[in-house]
Amino acid sequence: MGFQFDSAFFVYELIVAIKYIPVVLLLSVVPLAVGMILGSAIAVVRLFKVRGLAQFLAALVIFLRGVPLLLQLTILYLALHLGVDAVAPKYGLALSSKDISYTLVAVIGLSIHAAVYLSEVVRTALQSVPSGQYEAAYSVGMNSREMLYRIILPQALPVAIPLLGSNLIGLIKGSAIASLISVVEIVNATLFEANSNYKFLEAYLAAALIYWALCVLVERIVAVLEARVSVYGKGGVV
Amino acid sequence: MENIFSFSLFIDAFPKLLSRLDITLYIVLIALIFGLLIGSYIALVRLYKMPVLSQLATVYVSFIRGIPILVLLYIVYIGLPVLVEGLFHVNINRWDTLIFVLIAYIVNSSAFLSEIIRSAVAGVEVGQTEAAYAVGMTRWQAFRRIVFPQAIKIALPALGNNIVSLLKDTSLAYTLGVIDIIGVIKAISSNTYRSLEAYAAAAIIFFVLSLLLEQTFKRLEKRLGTKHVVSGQE
Amino acid sequence: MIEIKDLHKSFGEQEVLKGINLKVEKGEVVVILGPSGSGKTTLLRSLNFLERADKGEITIGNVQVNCKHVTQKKILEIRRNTAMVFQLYNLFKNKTALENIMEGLIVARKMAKEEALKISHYYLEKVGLKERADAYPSQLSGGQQQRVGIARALALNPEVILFDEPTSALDPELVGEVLSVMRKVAKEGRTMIVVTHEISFARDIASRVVFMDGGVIVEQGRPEEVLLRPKEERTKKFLKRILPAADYSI
Repeated sequence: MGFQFDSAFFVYELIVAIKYIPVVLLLSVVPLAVGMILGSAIAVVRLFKVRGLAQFLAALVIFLRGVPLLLQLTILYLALHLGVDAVAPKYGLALSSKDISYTLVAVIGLSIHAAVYLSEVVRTALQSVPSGQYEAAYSVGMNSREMLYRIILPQALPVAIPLLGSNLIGLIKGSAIASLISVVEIVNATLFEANSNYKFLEAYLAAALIYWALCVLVERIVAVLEARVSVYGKGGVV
Repeated sequence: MENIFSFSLFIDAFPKLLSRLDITLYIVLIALIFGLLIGSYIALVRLYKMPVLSQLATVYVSFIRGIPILVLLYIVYIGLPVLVEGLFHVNINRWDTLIFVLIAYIVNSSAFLSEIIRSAVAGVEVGQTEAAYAVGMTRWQAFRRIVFPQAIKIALPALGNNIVSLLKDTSLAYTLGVIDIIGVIKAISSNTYRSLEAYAAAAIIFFVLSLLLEQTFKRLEKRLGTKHVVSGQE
Repeated sequence: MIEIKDLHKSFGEQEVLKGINLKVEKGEVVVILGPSGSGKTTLLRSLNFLERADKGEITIGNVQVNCKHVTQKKILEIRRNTAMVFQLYNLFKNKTALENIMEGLIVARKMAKEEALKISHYYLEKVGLKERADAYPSQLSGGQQQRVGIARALALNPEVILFDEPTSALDPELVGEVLSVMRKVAKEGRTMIVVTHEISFARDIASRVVFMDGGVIVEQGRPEEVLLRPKEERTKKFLKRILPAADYSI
């Protein structure tokens, strides 16, 4: 039984995969943005040691970091379904588990996942700015907001950008796990096409190629941003 | 509440899941050992810039790091028999699924670990090697006695993170039909028609394992005196 | 005019300032001497509210605060009446030399950009770094960075400039250039409070020398009094330890 690589079907699957890039971006860029907002909030609460809340969030971060994304998504998916079906009838809501969008569940789950890791990124980046910079900003009479925007964030950014890049790559790859809770993204879309002819290898290779391209693209963008954002760090360049 | 989350089912799930813990740990261990061996070789190929091999290694690492482990699992599962058949005319379709899973995780971790090893070795100053040569050490002695111990210190935090990721990534092995911690949930849920409790139990197990791994590495780092670059210039 | 009344500050169990009273007139150059751990840096940082004193009163120009109940707004007012030159320079790493000086003027003083630019160039020239305006801190030597730090403080035109061991992080051959800028500033009649180990600077420039030890002011007076004829035993001991090494006449 000789295997024949069907390059025409492979190209067809590549096009299918490309068409689903927007879904992958929805599942990675949106969680990155939401995660950045939530993560910054978590980082600030922990850096300023807000009593009670800081400890709670620290524990939550440690817990969620130890749980595989697959389990986070599955549990969220199951809990939402069971929860809606149990609660909706009690309050006479015309809502059932069938109305819950798989994609929405995945976006929420990936956002929580991202927030956990990004809170660590924000913490690392803020802590990388020496305390003397805060003091100097105060000493010339800036208030906290002015200090943050003009002095601290511009210096924290070069530290944060590569970390943000690797987190975005993690989210792009992580979005494939959403296929396991029935979200139609690149993996499921290409598989669906292969269901009739069993040419799964072509389907998976096409999907892989597109993921790879996306990840390399992110790496390139990060490299360009890094070079642009940290001009001041390089001694001797006038 | 009981029809959302049954506490007794949650508790009952633990022994069933833990009975399959060995499979999960086995995958982690094998992927780690072979990943380190192959990863070191890839790192050396790239560090010494061996012609052709170095370029191939670069593409390999970039590709493997750029695709989801889920996709890699299937590519190995479907693609490897085709490749072996084509090259050696040997049919390996009947191999145990676990072998394909192991190969996929080895491939995956070899790429990630090679990057860690490469940047750790590159992180040791050239002066260290030169000083070792200056006191009359051979290339191998210089590597083993001077460079390697320093590189280990640099690599340790990333290595720890990577093993935790590897552990969590094994949760996808069930997609090929391996009955590990996650795979057994499928079996449970087909009896009870519910799985939330079992998934929650699995989450706890993975969390505890990750925590144990993290703590072990923290202790190792302390013992080896790995410096964490955090903040401050003073 | 600056007035400090009964200033107290503790770090945990340890009381670092045990009731400091000090008055500094306009145009005075006050040098604070003392062994490490005597509280002199803490005193200086309390004046700029980089440390918040536990108790006491601080008056700087027309702003008076009680350290026990002080509002964020008052702290900002005090900070806008003072400027600080740091031991480790603390230039904004993401700003050029010129921008470092402009930053406080534009942001805190709400000055128009044109004017801020003019002032910044003026002070950069004053500290002898006209041609380094567009250099980032990482491209400047320690001495140059500290001179920019002084220019940054001068440009704010504060009631008082606080110098926190401005030369102690510098290589010996770079100390001179910073001290000479400080001399120039002192001669212009700026009010300065300087924590330093440079006895020669204290002797030649200070209008008053304050000796601190163990969180209190032990003695103060004109430099020749305190340095040559100290009254207190603790001052004598301190001077004996550092003078033979530090006091080579210029």
